[in-house]
Amino acid sequence: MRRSAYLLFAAASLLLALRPAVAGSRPRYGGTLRVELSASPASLDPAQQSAFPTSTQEQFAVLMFDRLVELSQQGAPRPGLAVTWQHDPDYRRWLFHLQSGVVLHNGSPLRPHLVVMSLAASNPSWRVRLQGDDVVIESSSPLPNLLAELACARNSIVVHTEVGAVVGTGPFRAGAFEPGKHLALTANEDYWGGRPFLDSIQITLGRAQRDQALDLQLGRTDLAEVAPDQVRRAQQDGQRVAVSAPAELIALAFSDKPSVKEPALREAISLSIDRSAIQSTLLQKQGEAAAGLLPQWVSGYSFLFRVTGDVERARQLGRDPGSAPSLTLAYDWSDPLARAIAERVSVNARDIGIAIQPYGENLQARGANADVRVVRLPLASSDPAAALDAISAATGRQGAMQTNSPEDLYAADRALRSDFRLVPIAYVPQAWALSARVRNWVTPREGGWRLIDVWLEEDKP
Amino acid sequence: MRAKCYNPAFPRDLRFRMPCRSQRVFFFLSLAILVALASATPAAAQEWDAPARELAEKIVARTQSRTALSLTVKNISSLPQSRVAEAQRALESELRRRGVSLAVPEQAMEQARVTLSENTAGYLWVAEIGHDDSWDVVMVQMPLLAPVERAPAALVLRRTPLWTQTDLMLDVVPTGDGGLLVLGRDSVSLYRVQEREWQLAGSAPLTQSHSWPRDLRGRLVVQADGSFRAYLPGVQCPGTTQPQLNLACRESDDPWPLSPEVNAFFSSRRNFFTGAVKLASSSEAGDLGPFYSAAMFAQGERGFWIVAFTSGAAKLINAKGQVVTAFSGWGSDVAGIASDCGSGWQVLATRAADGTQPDSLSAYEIVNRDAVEAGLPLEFAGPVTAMWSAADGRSATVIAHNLRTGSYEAFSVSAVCGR
Repeated sequence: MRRSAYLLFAAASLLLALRPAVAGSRPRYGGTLRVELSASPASLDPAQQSAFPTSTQEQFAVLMFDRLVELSQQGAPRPGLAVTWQHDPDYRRWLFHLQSGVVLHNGSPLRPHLVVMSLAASNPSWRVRLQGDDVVIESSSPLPNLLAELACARNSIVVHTEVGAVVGTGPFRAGAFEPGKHLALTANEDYWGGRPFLDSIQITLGRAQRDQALDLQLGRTDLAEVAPDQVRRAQQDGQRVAVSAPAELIALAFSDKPSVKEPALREAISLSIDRSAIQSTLLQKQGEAAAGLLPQWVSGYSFLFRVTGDVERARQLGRDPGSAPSLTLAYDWSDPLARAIAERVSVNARDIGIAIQPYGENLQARGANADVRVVRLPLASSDPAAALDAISAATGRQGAMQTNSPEDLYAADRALRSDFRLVPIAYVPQAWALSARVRNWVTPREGGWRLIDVWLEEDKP
Repeated sequence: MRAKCYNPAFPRDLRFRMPCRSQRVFFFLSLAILVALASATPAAAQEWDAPARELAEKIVARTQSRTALSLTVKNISSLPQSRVAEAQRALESELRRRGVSLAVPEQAMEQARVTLSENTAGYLWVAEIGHDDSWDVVMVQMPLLAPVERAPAALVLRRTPLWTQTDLMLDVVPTGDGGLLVLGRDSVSLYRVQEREWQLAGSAPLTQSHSWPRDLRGRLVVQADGSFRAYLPGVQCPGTTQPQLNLACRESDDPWPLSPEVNAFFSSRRNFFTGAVKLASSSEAGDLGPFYSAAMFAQGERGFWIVAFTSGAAKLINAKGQVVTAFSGWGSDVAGIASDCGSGWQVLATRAADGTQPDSLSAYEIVNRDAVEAGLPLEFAGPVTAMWSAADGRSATVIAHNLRTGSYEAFSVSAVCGR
């Protein structure tokens, strides 16, 4: 090429005259992502979770906090705050070497002892200590799935400051937070994993899903939740909808009250539920009917569990009137799908002679007086053992999975449900409607979001 | 933790010479049939041997009697139905080898209901063994099978695998003395062929005082004297590969080479060139505005640039610096290559997608101010994360992030014609 060709740069100012013609593929920096959520968490501290963790708490945690280990989209462990790790042959002792130079959102360095304090607080059964600058995790029982466990949101590294605030090292730092109303997040310029492409995220909390859909239509938000039963309609309306794999377990959680102390009564209610009908009608064929604790795509064996009702057997179990008083069934009053499922459960139970009265309750006031509740449990991990462990912990049981063998997981899944305290009904996907300017959106199969990689198309005039 | 694979070294000029077209056609047809036969039978079926053996053992251990067992196989995995029959045959064979006599369900004493399922770890074979209300469940896990590559029909662009690794890869270049340099997020690695396999000959860490930008970019340039230089945002690392790998990084805002004659300044905290460019041999400079990539090509006596700007526009600029036209549907990465086809120059461009989708690479010829696509696009299993013109100008190094495997795969892409 002749040298004269390069004189073009002398007249480069001419280039600025043209408007953008098309979208590129490389991420663009800048902009504010607007998000609307129906949930309204009272705290940003992952440690202050209600009895059952919610998807929103986990979504916030991954924005503001880091974990020692992350899982790739393929489920392989990869470094987070820990760059290397090793374990002894029987998986009882693990040693993690931390990244150097990681800075907390308040500007102070992340010292290894802060990591120890955070992990010890969220895992009382582990012995977490320092060895030089490395973190050691020990347990009396083997922890073969520890890496997947550490990648869960509940093991986020959270530092509590002297003034009672929580700070992390994550890609976004929290700004203004009005519980139940609004949360502002800004990009962490010094994030060790590279500054996010977005400048900031504005999250409106407690917004009804119907209002979210309207705001998306009017260009007031970039991200709106879509209930599973609304996914098909949203797609038919031409909306841009991202849907995860089945990632949230809808289940009945029985209380310890004497009214539901009989396992036979709980089993009868479980057998009365026609999960297939719930999936095909209430969920509009989204997600899957669930009789096991893990979705089929994670376990591979969930198809073995029967999802159709067995009314005859249920009637036999529940025929003692003394064991079938009128029960109360609580659901989140802001969740129309939970309400619909509660009402269907009530109808199914009535068919076998058990009276169940559904009623809505405020999510923040969980633990109230109901005999049984409709709960939503987010899938904590795409690793089946870690996911089962999380469900086990949420239901107040201790003890981590000792192996990852599918036969052992199958047995553990059955054992966890053997007392019918937690009765699975359906696994539903998480779904989002996105504005046209949102790019690089990835819906992890296990739900949640990866806003660190999202970028925004430049606004066209 | 790191798993790498690569294409083995082989003679570069491996060609067949056939005397006439009809013989060529016959030869390639025969070759295709032989390859198809070879891949369709024993090799493919072998993949089922181990899981079929393990499952058969577990089934036999739970059967009461080895006579009259009925076997049904159902597939609910992503496995193509064509492969299910192979799996069933393998399982039947292993059961018979263990003395099991298979029967139709009506005459069977026991049943084995096998479901080919799938979970996050791969395929899961689930067998329910028993009768009436008494059932045992056994399972066998196996990894997912690699997808079968379809042979391209008639491609203008040829892709040669260079390197694959699980960690982020920014650039790959041959060193000129038989080595291969790989630029990663944290290090530059040198590989050499020893005993017919690529072996790590050295690795040198990259040092920087600030965290890397999220969409990290970097480039390796090998000099005529055998030394090389790694360009990263705000950091440059001159190095040598002889007698061993040496690297010394320093903070630097010096421009990166776009071509042998033109340099461009790269933002130290972002993923784009700032727009400031200068000639390598003089102080002449200009400002284009921020851009991701630029491709140079010649048409007769005239030189042109195609620049992919951060605004999303891809524009053709002539030697006078005038914007001739803008193109739509192009992505952020462009590279120019010379070939023996058409005008002798093609511009390679990614498509306008984002990092969540498989990418493709198209070759364009510039005809009357228009970009005319030359041949079929080259598909990748994920987004193209880097593309740089190679030193010889006849190929481009393309790195794609395979969305299925999570690996980064480097290819040398060149244009071939008349095939």
